[in-house]
Amino acid sequence: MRVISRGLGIAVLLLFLLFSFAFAEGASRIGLILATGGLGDKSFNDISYAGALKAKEELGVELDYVEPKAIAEYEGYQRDFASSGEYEIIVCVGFDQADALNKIAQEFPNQKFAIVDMVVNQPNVASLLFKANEGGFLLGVIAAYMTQSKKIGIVGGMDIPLIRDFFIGFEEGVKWANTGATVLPTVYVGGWADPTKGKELALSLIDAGCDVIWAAAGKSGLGALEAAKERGVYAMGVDACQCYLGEGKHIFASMTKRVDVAVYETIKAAFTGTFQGGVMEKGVSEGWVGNCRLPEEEPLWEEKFQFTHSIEIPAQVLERVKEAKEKITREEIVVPRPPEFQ
Amino acid sequence: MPPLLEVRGLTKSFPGVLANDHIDLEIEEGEIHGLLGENGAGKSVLMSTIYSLYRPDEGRIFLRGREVHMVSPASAIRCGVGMVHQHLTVVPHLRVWENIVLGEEPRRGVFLARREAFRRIEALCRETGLQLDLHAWTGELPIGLQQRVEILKMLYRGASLLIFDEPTTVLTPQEVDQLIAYLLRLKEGGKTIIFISHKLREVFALCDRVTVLRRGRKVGTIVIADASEEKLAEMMVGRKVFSPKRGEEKPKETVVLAVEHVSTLPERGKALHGLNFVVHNGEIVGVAGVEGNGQTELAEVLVGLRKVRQGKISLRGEDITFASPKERIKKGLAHIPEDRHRRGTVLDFTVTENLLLGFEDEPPIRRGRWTIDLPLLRRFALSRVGEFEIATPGVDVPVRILSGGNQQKVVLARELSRPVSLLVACQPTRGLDVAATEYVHRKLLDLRKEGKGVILISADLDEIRALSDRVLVLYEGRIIGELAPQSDEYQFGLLMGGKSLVAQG
Amino acid sequence: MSLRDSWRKCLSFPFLSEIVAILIAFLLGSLVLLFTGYPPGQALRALFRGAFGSRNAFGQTLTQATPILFTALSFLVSFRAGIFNIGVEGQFLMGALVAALAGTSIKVLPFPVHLLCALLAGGGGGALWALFPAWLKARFGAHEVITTMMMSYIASYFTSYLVNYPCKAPGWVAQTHPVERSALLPKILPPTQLSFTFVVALAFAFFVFYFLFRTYLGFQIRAVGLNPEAASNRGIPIASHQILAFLLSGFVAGIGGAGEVLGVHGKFVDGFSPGYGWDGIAVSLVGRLHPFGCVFASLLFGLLRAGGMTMTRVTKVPLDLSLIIQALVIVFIAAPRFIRLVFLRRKE
Repeated sequence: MRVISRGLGIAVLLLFLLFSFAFAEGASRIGLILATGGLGDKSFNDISYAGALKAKEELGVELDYVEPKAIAEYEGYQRDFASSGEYEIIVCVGFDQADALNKIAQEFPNQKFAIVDMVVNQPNVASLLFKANEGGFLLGVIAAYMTQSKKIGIVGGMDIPLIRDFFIGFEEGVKWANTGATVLPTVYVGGWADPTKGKELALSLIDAGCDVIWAAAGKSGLGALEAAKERGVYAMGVDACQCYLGEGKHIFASMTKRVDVAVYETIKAAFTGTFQGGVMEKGVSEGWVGNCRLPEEEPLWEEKFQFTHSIEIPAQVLERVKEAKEKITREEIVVPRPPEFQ
Repeated sequence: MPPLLEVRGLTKSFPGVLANDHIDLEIEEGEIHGLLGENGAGKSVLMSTIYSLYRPDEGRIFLRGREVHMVSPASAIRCGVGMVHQHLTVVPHLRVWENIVLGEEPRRGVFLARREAFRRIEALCRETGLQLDLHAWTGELPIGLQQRVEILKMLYRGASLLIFDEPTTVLTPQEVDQLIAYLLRLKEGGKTIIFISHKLREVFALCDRVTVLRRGRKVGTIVIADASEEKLAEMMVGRKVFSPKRGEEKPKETVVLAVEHVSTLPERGKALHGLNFVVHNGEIVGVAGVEGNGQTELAEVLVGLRKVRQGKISLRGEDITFASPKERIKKGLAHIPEDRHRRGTVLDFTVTENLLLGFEDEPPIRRGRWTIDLPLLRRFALSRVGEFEIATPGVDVPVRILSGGNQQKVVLARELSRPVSLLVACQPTRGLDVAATEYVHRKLLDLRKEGKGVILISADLDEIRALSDRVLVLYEGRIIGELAPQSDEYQFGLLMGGKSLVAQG
Repeated sequence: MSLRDSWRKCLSFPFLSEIVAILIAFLLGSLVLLFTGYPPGQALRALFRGAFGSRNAFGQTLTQATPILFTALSFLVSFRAGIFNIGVEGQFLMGALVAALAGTSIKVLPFPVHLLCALLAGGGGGALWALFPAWLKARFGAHEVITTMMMSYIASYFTSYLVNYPCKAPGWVAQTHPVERSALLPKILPPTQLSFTFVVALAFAFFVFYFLFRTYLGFQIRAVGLNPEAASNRGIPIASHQILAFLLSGFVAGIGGAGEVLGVHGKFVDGFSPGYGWDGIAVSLVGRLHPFGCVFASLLFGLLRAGGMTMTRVTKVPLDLSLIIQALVIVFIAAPRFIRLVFLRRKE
């Protein structure tokens, strides 16, 4: 008994000592709540983190981030961040944080928030959206030149305006390139987490003669990329540079949402006092949307994902993409959107 | 010449218990020394202390006149002291010879010198007459042979003083006889043996001198030639012990239990064939037989745990052939199961809870629709504990910590809490010490005197003959004969061996 | 004999070994922190601040404790009947789903009635999910460890399928429609997530205690669990009591799932349970398989979860570290015999 109680005493003492370590209160910090996939997803989480990291280094402030494991944890984390009062801005990554954030933003009306890729209608929340139609346009231009069979197939996750936005821009880009290439009618998986069906649909497109496949369908899209690899045809990525998936062998380009730029700019705005709530929807001209084969982006992605693009994009094609980009910036080209967006 | 082992003033206490209180002990070279005592008298603690499993609080130990300070069983073994525990410590998944050399393997370089090991073991077997198949898997041997492995293990390590801690409790009667025979042979071979037991018969057959312990104190050491069973029992218990004596009353004419042509299927045990007998009020009917001839199954059929295929059982004229155990209990059938750990008690339940078992769903203990009346239950438990002289630190301790005798008293107290017309008592005194056995016997005889019926199923023929009015002998699931208890042992032996008596009157 | 006596003596100091185990777990956890290059003092301070430091923290701790209290009680009930219901997670999920369906589809009932219906529906869903393995065990002797575990996986995929396809509410997230207001359990400590579910859980702890230790049925179930042979010898039917305990276990787990849906999230979100059912088994063991012990154990685990959140935010210590402490607590408490032996060996 004595030994136990003595052990207990020592334990308490040691704990006490550990506690007496100095605890540094941070001044103003950046808070980042990642989506459930966590770091290492080579997509939104990694890219958002890169943007936040850049802001941290440039502004010289602290960055705290967490990686929730389940949707149920978002609310707890958001409240934990917000209630501490230590954060100038809290960036939430992923559409599935919206429900929780809608609540927390009302609970802490003086706290600045940002949410990536989703709208939360609260005055203290900046909703960072990306003009997918413009990114689709640029990708469409490249695709139009890369196809031999002049047939391009696209696979969508679900038939909703958000996704149609990608494809309307894409089809417009193919048309603008004017190489005689056509886009087959879009096929939809009907879900975001069904790679098997995504693969099946892509295979049917390839059977119909397509030699370039594009998918905007979350995890279902990975199945489409797999199908392209299996049949030896080209494929393209979405959201982030996904060319590394085929070791650069069959995926030649990806439309990119520059979440890093968006996150970085929003954080910077928060610290410099120019932060504004509401919807921030930006596109090619602001550098929020792009393509991983653009000369200014390519090294960035290759460094981040540790690979090299091995499919050569002919110089004149890149010239055409640059031209399209400039024209969009100068509003000489206005890429159409689904009617729901007007 | 100094004694082989001398213990002076050895004291060992555990929280709340003084297990050994200044014990002196002398063991002469070449003797078999019995160590007797009731359960909890401190025999095992004393021996474990000598074997250095425990460290004594006080006292000194001398070997051949030299004081020794052994710190672990390993050093005890080096001093030539070996101990065979009640629960064996052989490794079941090793072969016999591997178990014997385990920890003490002869080596050649880094290799096990197999041939050398075999040579030494075989020599040992020849010397002592302990025959064993060295290649057998130890776990597949009967307990008696596993015990031999254990003994050989000690001898292989050169033990000259062997301590046996209640070695016979796990053995069948035949194995006990064999053990006694080869212990005597070991003694002839010059070994010294300390034999712990609480069975007087074994002590008389084996020992030269006996030391008796009671409640942690030494009562005395006597030469066996000067001792009698009564005297030793008295030393152990601390008072005169009465051997059970049936009263003069004649059993009544009324039949309490009638078993007519009962047969069962041989699932999970022996089949019973055409059993046919009655038990009268005020009668103890003994059921004898070599174990495994249907005794367990008979008890299960009577209490309703085994299905009857044919025949009829009636209790006080009521047909209970297909009644559930619960219904039979309510009709006044009580049962002391043969294995009080497996069937008789829930070891992790408290004394109170064990006493409650089987009454929980009846008023007055059940108050209202669901609830158990705790204050009433407590009063009930306390009164049972008092009435049945159950020695327990309280009614809220688990039954597991009670001695076997007191566990059995808990079973008895529970079974007799309700008006009983018939008690089925299976091996009611197995593993109990003298005082507890005496108590159980008294209770059975009390029931008889009150005019209840008792079926006594026991492997202990002496017990059956002392208590029963009539004895049925079971052989291969049949009643092969009925004897009067005063019939001679030879007749019992024949019947139990399956030879029916032609000249049975 | 001596060892057994002495550690029985230890047991008489009610929670000493548990407290020692917890302290050791924290100490070892601190060492792990130290060796992985995080400042343990700061981390632990953050942990405790995140668990008790504020109204929010406190609410979060209790919120996290609630579901694992339910699952711990569920496991406890079956365990006391000698059944190893490993599949608490599955019953928990089914309860949650059924409650969500009842909460969204019934629209005519007023507040407390609808809530009660949805809760009971959840309990029924859990019990139903336990019925099949119970039947398999009673009828064919199929071992419940295997069947319940498999049923658990089925439940996990089945609920996931339902909220991804047929029962999915429009939108990006795989979840059901929000439950009607009339079926929501009120919040206790707004704005935190803490809801009345916690009170229900405490009530269930008391209910389980009363059932097991004060009613004759509970007594019989415990007897069956500890020694079926002795129980049947005294006329207690084993199979029916084990089935009963199985169903009750499923019911409690189902209520737990329903409580999460109706109290915390307001809908069934795919993957909302990070393994509450599995945690419950550990909590149950740490709580010494006693309902009140489970209350304290679940609070401890809730504390570690809630505090772990703040700890990872403030110090960047991965959340896994607070899981390591959890695991250490389990190791040290579920193996108390080991600790006692270590201490006693030194003493002898």
